Formats: sequence, structure tokens, C-alpha cells
Amino acid sequence: MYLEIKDLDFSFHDQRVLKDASFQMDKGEIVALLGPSGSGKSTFLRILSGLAKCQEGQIFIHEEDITSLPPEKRNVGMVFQDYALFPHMNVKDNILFGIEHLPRQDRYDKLHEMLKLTNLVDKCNKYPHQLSGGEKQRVALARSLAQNPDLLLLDEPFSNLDTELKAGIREELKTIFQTLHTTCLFVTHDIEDAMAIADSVYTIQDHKIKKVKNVYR
Amino acid sequence: MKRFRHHIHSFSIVSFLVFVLVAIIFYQLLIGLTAEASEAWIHIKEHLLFDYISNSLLLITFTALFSAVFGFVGAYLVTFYEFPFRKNFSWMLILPLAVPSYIAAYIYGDMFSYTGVVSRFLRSIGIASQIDVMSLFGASLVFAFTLYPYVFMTVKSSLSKQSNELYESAKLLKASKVRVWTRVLLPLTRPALVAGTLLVILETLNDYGVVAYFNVRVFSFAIFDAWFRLGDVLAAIRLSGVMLLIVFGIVAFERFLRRNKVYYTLQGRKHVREELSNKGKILAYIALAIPFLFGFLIPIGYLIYYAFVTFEKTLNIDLLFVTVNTLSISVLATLITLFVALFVVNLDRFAKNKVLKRMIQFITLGYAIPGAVLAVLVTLFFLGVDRQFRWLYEWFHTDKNLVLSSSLVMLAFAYVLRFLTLAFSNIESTYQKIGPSYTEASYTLGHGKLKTLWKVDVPMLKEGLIFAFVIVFIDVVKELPLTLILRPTNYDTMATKAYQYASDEMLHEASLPGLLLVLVSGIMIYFITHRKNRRVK
Repeated sequence: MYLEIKDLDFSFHDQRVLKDASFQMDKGEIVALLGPSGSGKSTFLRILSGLAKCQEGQIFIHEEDITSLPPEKRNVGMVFQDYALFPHMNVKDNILFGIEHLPRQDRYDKLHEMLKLTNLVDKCNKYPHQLSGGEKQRVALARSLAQNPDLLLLDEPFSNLDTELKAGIREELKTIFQTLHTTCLFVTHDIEDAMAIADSVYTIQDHKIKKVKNVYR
Repeated sequence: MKRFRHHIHSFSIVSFLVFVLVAIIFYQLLIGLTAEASEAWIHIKEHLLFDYISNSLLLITFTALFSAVFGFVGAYLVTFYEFPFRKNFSWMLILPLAVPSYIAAYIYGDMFSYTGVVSRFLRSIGIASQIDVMSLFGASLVFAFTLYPYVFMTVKSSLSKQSNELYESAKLLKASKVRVWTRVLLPLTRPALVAGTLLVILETLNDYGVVAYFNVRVFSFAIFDAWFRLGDVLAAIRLSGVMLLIVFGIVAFERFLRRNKVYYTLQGRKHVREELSNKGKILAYIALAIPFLFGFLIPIGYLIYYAFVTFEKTLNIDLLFVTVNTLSISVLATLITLFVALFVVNLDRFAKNKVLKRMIQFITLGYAIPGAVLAVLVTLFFLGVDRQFRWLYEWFHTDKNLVLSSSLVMLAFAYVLRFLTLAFSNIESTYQKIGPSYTEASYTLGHGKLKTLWKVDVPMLKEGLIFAFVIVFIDVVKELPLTLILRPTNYDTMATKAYQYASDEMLHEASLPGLLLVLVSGIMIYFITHRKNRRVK
């Protein structure tokens, strides 16, 4: 198993979110976590990224226990619901931000690769407020992918997009993930999103993560 | 153990150090309170304490009442109504904050004295009686005219965030104007009104200059008196203890008023300002002009006039040193305060642990501790430190036994402790506007806490940091009780220089340092009120 979660417990303000929750993913798999608002999907992503600490349980990536590692040491990428693009940096600097530790040449090679992959070459000097919703999302994605994350997490990636844009972007995303063979977990409340991209769909039920066998039912 | 290790980082280390220092400071207070009662204290307790308590309570009640009225009416008018010069009034009404209360007290004390301009004018029109402003009531008016901007700013900010739809729906529900005021406007604005008034109360209790000059026997006066006239530190500590009880009682009362109340801000249309009738305009101008006139225009006019009259005596090399002293210690203390506050806020932002939250609340108590009390405690602390380091001083072959306690370090330390709360709350509110996702994004992109703070948070907080800098800087520049007690010998700032002239009955000579003080603060206020709209896109 590439990602393995064992017996996770998490409560917030005395409200139980997860109890003995276990979950597994293969490398390169795209998984959707489906459910209504407030069901704990985003919290689950925050636990995986290290932004929230679980009370019990263990998280393994590639058999390495990352449970107590801080977010900056996990190599888990995350695309936030509001994208969290740094407003004082342009597209280029936003993408370079996560790969500053690389040698200069490698850094710029990676930047160009990401700009090309996400079709943002001509937007490279623009600032976030000069971009459309779809472009912002692609920058956030490029920024996370640039650091070759072991796992990519996306929080409601389509919630800020127009319906017309959605279909095209779903396709783009799927192509990008397949090209890079990215292991990706995204949360959504929209079954159409889940069906369009994911290899498998899960949901949080009774504080546990359960696979949805027949999505349409 | 591994999990615990991740809680040790620059934010927690700096915060913990500050916590230890504040805890030691309070420990000094406890030791003093449990020591045997001195004769001076017994005398104070039997004959003076009741007066100190009742005078302090009366002073803060009147001041709170007047400031709440000036601040609320001003904020209400500039938010809800349209009239010529409305925009100018919305920043001009903040300017009295640049006038330290003690400077205003010297000015009004002089103007209403027997030989003052007001009394002479009254006599010239046949009125022989003299208005006595040097009283408790006069002091509360002086405080209200110079401190009401705290209420004005908090209420105005709260009103401008409220949706106009709330008021429109109240009107559609056939509520009269009075009902809209009592059932919608006041309840919604109450938290801001109470918070702003609390700041006024804390500043009033902190003051020493006004009460000393007007001879109003309140706590800060009593602490100075016990310490410097009676030479009894333990009596000063006991007075500090009683004063702190009152302060914490007031703070607890404010929290009680806010208990379990959540005030949601509806994201609706902003206020559509009503045009005022001609009669309404006149009334509005009177209501807005009174606090501006007495809080800023008259004091600044007086200072300019007498600075001009006395400049041959007061404009000298000494004043240059005083200016350099004031600006350098204020900039240094403000920068350290912001730096510490940034670290403490960052620990607070992601803290889930209740103990940690309490620790942070404790660190930021400083603003509630009146200057005279803090000065007593900080002095005792540094005397203790000097005693501990005597071996080190001997090792350096210095004859001095008091190195830290006779240096600027002690003063800067006290400034940081006192004004940390201000920097903390300003930075915290800017962080709340930005939200946590940028910081979290940086963490998930592999950057640690310090790098994220420097590369992501600080550029995004820029406007908030500038605002916090100005607010803390103005307060440090104006601060009198701490500076008076903790400054090294022969070290003067604009505040102490003005105080010194005034206490030597050289009121007109106090004008030039006073004017410089008001100008420095006034320019800073103008700068932030005209920068306010430049937010990160």
C-alpha cells in the first residue's frame, strides 16, 4: 500500500469527527472523498497534510510513519479551496516558492515544466488578482505539483468554478494527474466531480471512511 | 516525546520566555503583598484608601460616560449621514489621540486659572466667578476630550461593517427611529462601545500627569506618593495590588457583558448615508466640533502660540537631545514589541491547547496594568537581577552595583510589556482578516515557521504591521508614568520634559516639547488614517 491510515481518531471541540478510521491508497490512484458539508472531509485532508493533529492513529506513506511530522516535512501537497495564492507574488514566484531549495537550473526547469503542463506560460508574470478562477486553480495546482509531492490533496477543487468551466477543468486535471502519475485525494460534495476524475470514491460514515460501491445508488 | 518536540519552535520559545518574565513580575507583587504591613500602609488603609477607591471609581465613571457619548455620537454621524466635510471629520476626530491628556490638563489648567485667558475674559464681561477645572470633574472632561477617539474608532469600525439591510428591515417592520436605536443599533454596537470605553478606562487609570497636576487623589497618584514622598515601596505595592483588583474587576465585567454573545456581521449592502436637513447639519457640526475643538484645536493653538512666545528660552541643544532620545527609544521599543507580538500571535493562531491559550492571555495582560504599578514591579525585578549579577559586574571591574536597573534596558522592557497587548491585538486582527490558508499553504510547500513568517506572513501583514507600529509608537512617545520612574538619571523624553516644566510652574515653557510630542503623534495619525484604504488585494 502506498498510503495507509490506521485507526485514526479525531475530535474537535468535543465533537467526534473520526473514530478508528482506516484507509488505503495505491500509488497513482485518484480517490474522491464524497460527502456533505460538515461531514469532516476537509478535516481529514488537514490531518493528512499535518495541519491538524489526530489524537490517535498512524499515517504511513511508502511505509514511513509520518504521523508526528510537521507539514513542511511531509512532502504532501495541498490545493486549498480558496487556492491560497500569495497575493504579493506573481504566478512565477508562487510556483517557485515551494522549490526554493533546488539548484537554480533545476528550479527554473521545473517552473517551465509546470507552466507548460498547466498551460500558464503566458500568465507567468501576472498577479493572482489578474487571473480568472480557472487560472488561479491551475497556478495552485502547479505550485503544489512542482515539489513532486508524495501525495496531492485537493479541497473542493471545483467549488469556486463556473459550471461551464468545470467540465473542461475536470478533464485537464485528470490528464495532468495521469501524466505525472500523481497519487491524489480530493474532497467534494458533488457526485459528478467524483465520477469524472476519481478511480474510486469514499465517504465518511459513522466517523469511518467507507468505500462507496455503487456511486449512483 | 516526538510529538512534544514539534511544539518547541521559535514561536513557543519566545512566548515562553515572555511568560516567565511576566510571571516573575507578578511574583514580585505577591511577595510584596504578603510582606508585613508597614506603618505607612496602615495609615493609608485607615485614612486614605477609601478616598483613593471612590475617587478612582468616580473619575473612570465620568470619563467613560463622556467619552462614550463623544465617540459614539461622532461615529454614528459620520457613518449614517451625509454632510459637507463628513470625510474630513472622520479622520479629524481621531486627532485628539495625539494630544497627551497631561498636556491638555496643563493647557486647560492655565487657561482657566485666575490669570488665564478664560478667567480674564469672564472678568472683562463682568463675570467675577472663576471656573475650577482642576477638579475630579474637570479631570474627567480632560480625559474624555483626549481619549474619546478610542471609542470613536472602535464604534465606527463596527458600524461600517454592519449591513444596511438590518436597518432597512427594521424600518420596514415599522420600527420608529428610537426603536431602531434601542433595539438594533445600540445592541449591535454594544461590544465595540464597551471595548472602546474599556480602553479609555485603562488609559485613565494609567495616567499620572493629569491627576498629579489637578491634585486628584486616585490610585496612580497614591502609588507615586507612597513610593517617592513616603519612601515606602511596600505600601506602593499594596496600593498596586488593590488597584489591579479594580482593573481586573472592570476587565472581568466587560467580559461578563460579552458572555455567550456572538454578533454576526451580515455581508450585505453598506450604509446608504442619509442627507441631513439644514437644522440637522447645524446640530451635527456642533456635536462633532465640540470634541475636536476641546480635544485638538484649542490645545494645538495654545501650544503653537506659547511655543512661539517661549522658543528663545526652550529651543536649545537640550531639546535636540530630548527629541533624539524620544524617537530612538520609542522606535526601538516599538520594534521589539512588534517582533515579540508577531511570535506570540503565531503561537496563539494555531494553539489548540487550553493551557497554552491561558498562557498567552497572561502574557498580554500588560495593558491592563497601570503604568505606576508596572513601574514598581519592573524596578523590583531589575533590582533583583542586578543583585544576582553583582559577581559579573565585579568581574568586569565596574564599581556600579546597579547596571541594568539604571539603564534604558529597564525602560524598554517595561514599554514592551505594557504595549505588547496593543501590538498583539492589532496583528491578531490582521491575521484574522487574511485567514490561515496562506500560512498553511507555505507549510505544505515545505517551508518552516520562520521562513513562512518572513516570506509570506510579513508581506501580507504589512498594512496591519504599519498600523500596529504607529499605534504602539504613539503610546510609547506619550507614556509618562513609566518613563518618569524608569528612565535613567538625566535622561529626558518629550513627555518628561513637558512634565518637568509644568511641575516647575513653567507652563508656557512646556509648550515646545508638548508641541513636538503632539506633532509627532499627529503626523503618525494622519499617515495611518490616509493609508487605511491601501489593503493587500
